[in-house]
Amino acid sequence: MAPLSLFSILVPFLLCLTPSSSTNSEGNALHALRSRLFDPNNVLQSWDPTLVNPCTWFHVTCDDSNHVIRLDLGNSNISGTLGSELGELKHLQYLLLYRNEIVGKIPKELGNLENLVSIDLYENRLEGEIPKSLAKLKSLRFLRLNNNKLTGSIPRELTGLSNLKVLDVSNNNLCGTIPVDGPFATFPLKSFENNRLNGPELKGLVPYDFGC
Amino acid sequence: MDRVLLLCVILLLVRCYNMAISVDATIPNIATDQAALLALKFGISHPDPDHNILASNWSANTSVCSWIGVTCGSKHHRVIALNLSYMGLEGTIPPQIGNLSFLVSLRLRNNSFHGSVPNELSRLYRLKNLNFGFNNFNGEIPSSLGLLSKLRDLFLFGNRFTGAIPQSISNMSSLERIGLAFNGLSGYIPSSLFNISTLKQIDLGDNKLSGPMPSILFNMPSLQKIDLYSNELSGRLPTDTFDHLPNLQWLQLSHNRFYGGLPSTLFSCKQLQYLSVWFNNFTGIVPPAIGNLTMLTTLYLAENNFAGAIPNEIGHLQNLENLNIGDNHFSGPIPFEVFNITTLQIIGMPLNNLSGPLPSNLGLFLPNLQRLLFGGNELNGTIPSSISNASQLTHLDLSTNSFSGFIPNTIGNLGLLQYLNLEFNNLTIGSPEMNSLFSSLSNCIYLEILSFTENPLNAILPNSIGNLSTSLQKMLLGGCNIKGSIFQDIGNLSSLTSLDLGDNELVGLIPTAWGKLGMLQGLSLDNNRLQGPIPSNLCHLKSLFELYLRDNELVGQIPGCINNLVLLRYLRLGSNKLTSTVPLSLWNLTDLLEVDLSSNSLSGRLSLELGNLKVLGDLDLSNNRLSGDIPMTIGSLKDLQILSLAGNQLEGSIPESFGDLVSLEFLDVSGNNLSGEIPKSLEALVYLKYLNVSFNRLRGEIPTKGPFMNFLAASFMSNEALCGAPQLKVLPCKRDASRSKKSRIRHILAFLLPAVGLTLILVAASLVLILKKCHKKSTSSVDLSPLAPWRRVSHQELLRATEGFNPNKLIGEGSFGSVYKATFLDDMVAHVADFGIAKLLGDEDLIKRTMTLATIGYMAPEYGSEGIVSARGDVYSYGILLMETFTRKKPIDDMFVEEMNLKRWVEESLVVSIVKIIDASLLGDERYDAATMDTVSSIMGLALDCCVDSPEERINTRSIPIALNKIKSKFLQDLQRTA
Repeated sequence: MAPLSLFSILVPFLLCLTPSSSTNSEGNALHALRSRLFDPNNVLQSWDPTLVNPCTWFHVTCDDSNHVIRLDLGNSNISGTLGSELGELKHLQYLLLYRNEIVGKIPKELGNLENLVSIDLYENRLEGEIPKSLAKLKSLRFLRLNNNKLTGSIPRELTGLSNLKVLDVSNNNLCGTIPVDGPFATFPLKSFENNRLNGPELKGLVPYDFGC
Repeated sequence: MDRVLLLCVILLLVRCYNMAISVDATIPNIATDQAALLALKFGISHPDPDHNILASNWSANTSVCSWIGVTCGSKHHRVIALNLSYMGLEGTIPPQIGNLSFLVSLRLRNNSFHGSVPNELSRLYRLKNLNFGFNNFNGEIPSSLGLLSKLRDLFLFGNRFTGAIPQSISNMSSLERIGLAFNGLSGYIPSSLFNISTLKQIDLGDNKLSGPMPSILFNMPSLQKIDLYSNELSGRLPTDTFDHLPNLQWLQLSHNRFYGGLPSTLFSCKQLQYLSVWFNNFTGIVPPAIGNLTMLTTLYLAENNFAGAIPNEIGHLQNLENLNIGDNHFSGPIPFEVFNITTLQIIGMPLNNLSGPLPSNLGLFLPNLQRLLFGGNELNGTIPSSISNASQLTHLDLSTNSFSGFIPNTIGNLGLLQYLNLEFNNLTIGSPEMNSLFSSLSNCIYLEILSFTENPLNAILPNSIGNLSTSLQKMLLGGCNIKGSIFQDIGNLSSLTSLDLGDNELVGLIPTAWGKLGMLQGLSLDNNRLQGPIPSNLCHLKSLFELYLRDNELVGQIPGCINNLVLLRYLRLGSNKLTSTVPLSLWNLTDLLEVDLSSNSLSGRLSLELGNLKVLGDLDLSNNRLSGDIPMTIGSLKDLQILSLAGNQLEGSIPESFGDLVSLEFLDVSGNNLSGEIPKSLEALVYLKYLNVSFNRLRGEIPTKGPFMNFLAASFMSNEALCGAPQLKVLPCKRDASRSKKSRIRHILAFLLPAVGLTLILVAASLVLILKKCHKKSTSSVDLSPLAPWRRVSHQELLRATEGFNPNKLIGEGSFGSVYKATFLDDMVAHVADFGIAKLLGDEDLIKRTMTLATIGYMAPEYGSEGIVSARGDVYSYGILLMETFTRKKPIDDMFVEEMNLKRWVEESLVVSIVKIIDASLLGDERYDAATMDTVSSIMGLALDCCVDSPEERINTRSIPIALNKIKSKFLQDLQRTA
């Protein structure tokens, strides 16, 4: 899974005095992410923005075209917020940020990452609503947002995610009812427990955001 | 008309009069200013109220002119300047600001003012200096600001302004500096901006401006700086612009989408000091005229598509400090003149196609050089040892070139070196030199990055390696033919984050002194000949993210303390001689992404705890001595993409829970003692591309759905009693009628097999007929003996005769299928054709078979419309084949469009005359033409009987050979008669 190039610099130094002007938008995005995070274990130490691309950074995996496809920062003792810059990682397939101390909202720009297969943000301290924009992620198989402080209702739009295999939003502060359409027909109730949810959606009888 | 004009003038006069009256009523004075400032103060707060200077200082009890940030004019005793910059203030600007009618300078930069800029600002007609930089203002820039005709400086940078730059700015006829950078401005740059002849500096960088760079059509000798950095500007640069900018010093166009060549007029801007077009789509060459720009201190052409040679004239730029032309397509040699520009601090030419050597005196005339970046070219020759004269060098990147010879020891004299990247070259060091090279490099006390990866160093790892800088973060020596053993003192390199000694010829033990390398995230010792155990001291590497020890000769057990490596994500220990059991503690590393323990001698049972590794993507435990059952908890590895348990002694059945491995793409459990059935649950693994369950003791039916539609016989071979489709080379499943619906393929085959046999026979028969017919023409004496009676050939015989429809036996392929050479046991050689259906019995995959089945034009109507497959469908196909054979028209011929098809054409023509449709090459010998036409007519009649639309009304399969025999006999009689 990790590329062979991990242990070489491979891509030569291009930049000069202005590292912030790194022309690789994905490297820029990751660097912007780093600037939001507090990283007491220095797991992001290798994130050198003056390299042409971020493919030799630890916790980052690229494909053959040097596009970032994985971000592996699960259980890494990082805190801070996520920002819109994540929306620049257009080729990202796996976003693993679970079991950290991340606060703030889930950036709606994640909905731009149409190659995303897995979003693992569970066990953080995320707030706000689950962005409706996630419904655009047609490749999404895993959406694990459990054990955060998310509020609002479960966006009905997510029922269109036909490839979604695993969803877990348990242990949040969500309200309304649980969708029953599309992949939601297969998710166990365990995925929804410990919220303020009012049971499965009763179509036509109760508004889905009843109790919100 | 005149009257109307007059009326207007009068009205205007009246209005002026009224205004004069009202102004008279309140003559603005210092009290007006005070009221305006108090209104401003009212809207201002500070995140820390104790630091809000204005709260106490701006008191109505003191004179306005003594307030902080306020300056009054001596003549009129009015406020002429307000400067609240860098005060950490928050708030909005009230409309009363427009009452400060004597204000000349208004500076609020670096605060947190927000909201929109009030239109009333435009009343400050004396204003010369407006600076709202780095606040949070939003909304559009008010068009009314254009009224500020005395304004010289307009600084609104670093806010959140949106919308277009107002055209009215061109009315600011005294404007000298305009700074709108770092906003969200969009739209085109108004060309009228360049009508302001007083303009000196334009900075519109970091916006979303689009469209072209406007042309400048008349001389603007005052214009010195144009900065359009990071917008969405596109198009070619205007050719008629730069000759009007004789004093342009700064041109920053980088990070846009400009294309085309650099206009030649650009090189007439002889005052240019800063020129950057970094990251655009510029093409073409850089002309020798670049040498005209002798004032240049910075030249950035990087990340474009420039090509051709670097002009020698670049050496004329004797003030150049920063040069970067990286990531273009420049080719040819580097002009040596560059290396004589003593002012240079940066020479960056990476990622081009530059070739040739470096000058042997490189560095002698570069006393200021800090960065020399040539990575990713085709440069060759040696690295000049004179490079050590460039004593300010901090970054040296010669990676990915074809440099050869020795790495000069003098590199160690570069005492400021931080980054040394020589990877992917052909550099070497003699064995004694390696020690001296590393001793010399230990002088580089700031060294952070050192990479010699993939150079044939052919040297022994020196023990002085541990004396390198304690700042060293990356030491990459992979693939360098390094011999010897790793010394303990490598543990001194306490800042290391990456250590790669993989793909070398290292021997001996893995050192035990790792305690100080608390920062190490990546350790690769792959592919050496390291021996002995994996030292448990490795468990002290608390930051370790990747541990690669594959392909060595390591023995003993995996240290039980491995669970201390809580940040470990990739663990590769494959192809060693590890023994004992997999420590239970390994399964506590619940964040592992990859585990490779393959090709060792690990034994024991797999722990149920394996299911803890919830994010594992790749698990390879193949070729060990693992025994016992596969734990059913494996089903919780939802992210697992690759799973290999092959070549162990695992027993029991394949757990049903494998069906929960929803991400699985590769599954190999071959070569174990697994028994029972392949669980049907595996049919749900939609991403599974590879499956191998061979060499086990599995039995029962092979699942058929989902990914199983694509697997071949090799996936299932050598099991006890698997059954399934014949192409999987397993026994057919015995089943009762009630279950037969479960497998549609089986269902289809049950109908097809007899049909195929029959069809082949029919085809063979017709071919024999054709052969015979042709034969008669070539021989003068017609063989009149009756043809041998056609024989029945079983499918098994056919398979044998064609070696299983072996491609080697393929004679030709046509639109209907293929013709094979068949050698039967009695030495009869025949040509066997099939409709494609025969392939059903071979190894072809299902999809192709289905496509072949549905060969357009031969397909019976009921197959096309309803998918019904039966022997009657083959009769239809055979009829079409007969027509094709004797008319030489394919059913997909261009002539068959819309309602017309081969069958209809034959049908309709036959009524009139066979001559219209018969293959003309069958005719020509007058003696036989009549008999031939008669025979073909009969055959066509038979063909039409085969092709009746309704399957029930089609001629019976048994009747076809009888009919053909009759036709044959008649044909022979006719021939005999004519002869």
